[in-house]
Amino acid sequence: MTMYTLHMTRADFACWRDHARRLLAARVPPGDVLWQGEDSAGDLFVSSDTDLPPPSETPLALKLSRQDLRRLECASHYWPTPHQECRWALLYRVVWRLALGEGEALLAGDTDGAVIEQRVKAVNHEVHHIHAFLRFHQQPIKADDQHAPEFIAWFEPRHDVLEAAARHFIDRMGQHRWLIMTPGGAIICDGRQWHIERPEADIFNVQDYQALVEMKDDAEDLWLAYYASTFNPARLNEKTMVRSMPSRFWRHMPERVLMTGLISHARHGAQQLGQDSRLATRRGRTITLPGKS
Amino acid sequence: MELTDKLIVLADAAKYDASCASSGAPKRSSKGQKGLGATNGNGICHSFTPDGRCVALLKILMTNFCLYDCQYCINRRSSNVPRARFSVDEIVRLTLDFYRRNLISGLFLSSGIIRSNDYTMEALVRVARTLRVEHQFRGYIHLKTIPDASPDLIRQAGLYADRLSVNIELPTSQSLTRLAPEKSDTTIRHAMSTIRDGLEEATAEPRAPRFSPGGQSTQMIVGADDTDDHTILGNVQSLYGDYRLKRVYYSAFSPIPESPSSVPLIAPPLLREHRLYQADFLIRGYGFRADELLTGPGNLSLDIDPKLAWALNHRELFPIDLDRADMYMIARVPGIGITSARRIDMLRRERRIRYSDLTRLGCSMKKLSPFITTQDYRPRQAGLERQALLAQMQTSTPAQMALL
Repeated sequence: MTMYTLHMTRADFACWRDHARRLLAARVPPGDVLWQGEDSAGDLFVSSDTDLPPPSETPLALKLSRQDLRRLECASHYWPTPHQECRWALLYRVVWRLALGEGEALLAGDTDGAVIEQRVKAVNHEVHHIHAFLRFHQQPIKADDQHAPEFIAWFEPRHDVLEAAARHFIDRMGQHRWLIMTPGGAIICDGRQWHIERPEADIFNVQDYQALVEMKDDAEDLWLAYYASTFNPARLNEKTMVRSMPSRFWRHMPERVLMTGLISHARHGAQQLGQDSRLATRRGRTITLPGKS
Repeated sequence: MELTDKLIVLADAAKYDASCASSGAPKRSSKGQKGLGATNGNGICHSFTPDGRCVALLKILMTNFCLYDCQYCINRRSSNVPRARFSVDEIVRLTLDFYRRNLISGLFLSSGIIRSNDYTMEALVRVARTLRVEHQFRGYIHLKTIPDASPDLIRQAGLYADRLSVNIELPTSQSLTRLAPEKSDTTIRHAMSTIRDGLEEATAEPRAPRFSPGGQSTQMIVGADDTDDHTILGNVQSLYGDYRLKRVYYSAFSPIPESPSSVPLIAPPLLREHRLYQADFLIRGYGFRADELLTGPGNLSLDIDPKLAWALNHRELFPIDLDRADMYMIARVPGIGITSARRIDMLRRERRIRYSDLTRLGCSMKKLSPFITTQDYRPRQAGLERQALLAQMQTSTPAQMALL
């Protein structure tokens, strides 16, 4: 049996798509392909590369709907853990099965379809996380500085969500200049356009970011005041909070400093009332209707 | 008073409004433009407080001075709470500062009634107008509507807001008369129909001015009076039908400091609120009627969810064959949601359904297993009586009793 090794020169969907087209045309079954890229180290027993066979006389080709294609691309943004299947191998098996007429291969009830579904979900979830839990810090900028970013953020995403984040934040931020740093790359926006910078050898790290950011900015105190006050201690429900906002994001959210205090305070006595305890001790004021006394 | 102090007072005063949704707005973008903010229809929860509730918007009152004396409300005029009032500029500054840092997706502004209804409503509209026109803010704005405000002011509010809401406050008009003497069911419903008419005009005529594209919602306080879930769901069903409401929010009554004797001193179980949301969802999304979920007076069961309760009461309809049943019936099986039902339907066009497919679809196997058949599965519990099956399905673990 011949094994074919395919090198993912860039770890992106377009690169995989070119390979997959040629493989289908040559009718190479998924079991005969080894994908070599950043998430698969290759195989110990296959040392030499073999050229792909010439296109078969009955080549396979596949026309996918735009929606299905988008689904596959989304699944390709998933970063598998070391014991999970390489994303490119999974995707190729799915298109191979589709090309052979197994329409169920993309449906969530199928074995492969379920994995695709799970990955699409995980990626979309992470996109949502970066939209929600990323925090910008305002930088002190000299009036004549036209280039330095006004807002800087740090985020550690689990999957490849930089593009989705870039498109989202450029819509939100108007003409502001901003910078989002992640371990795998940075998004830089000059107020009109964005681009992603992916460092080759050394990656960004959190120290670089911390050196850049004046950690405390003045809106932060206001935010903390708001967060504590909008919390209703009579409805304490930590479980839902942690489920909806996984703790791995807390490190870079200013409100992290309040959580423990609010929870323990609510547990010890404040449970009955919803009112912020800072207000309970303050002098109140009842109102008399005009014309009555 | 310092801005921080005001914020503490006026966020505390606003937190009894359950909604913090930022969804339903049209697509807007500030890419490369002056101004700030975007919406795309999806809501974003930027944080969660330890009560498990989402923080999507800056939810504050403009002021908690109030001429009304609604018994269930912490801001009633006879309540001894610190009072404060924001200026327009302060609200604008807070909204924009928080927005730029990605702490919120917009503003949810409400207010106590000061001077007159129209005066108050006008002040709310002024905040929204300043944000939209002066600062070109394209984020989300939710305005609470003062029920007695003039229809003209409500129309103006619809021009700037993504969502308008009028609180129905209590489940029945009798309770409203008793606990909120200054409010009336008639004027509340009148305001809701003004908003509904605005929504209908805006959709009917393509060139009509923009009007609250995220629709309208309302909130009902549960447990401040003794209305049962049967009445609540019946009323809610007609609210949805009459006023094109996007959502009804249920807010379990939170006891307040110096509580008047007309309202209870203890909160209803939060689970009751949860069950009402589940029932509400079944009415909106699954085509259940209120009288199917609760056939007679009483409350929803706290130990099982309303869909399971319904299925247990209709054993004669089950088990259903997933290869043959109508989509509509599949979605009524406990443990199978609308999305899964749709996926089952797509899959069965390719091949017959197997039991293991359902695990992959993420259905709740424990709940659905007595109610379905597939080519390779038949429920063992088919012969079980309702009570025996119920005992099997109950998930509640024994809880220690309260000391007092």
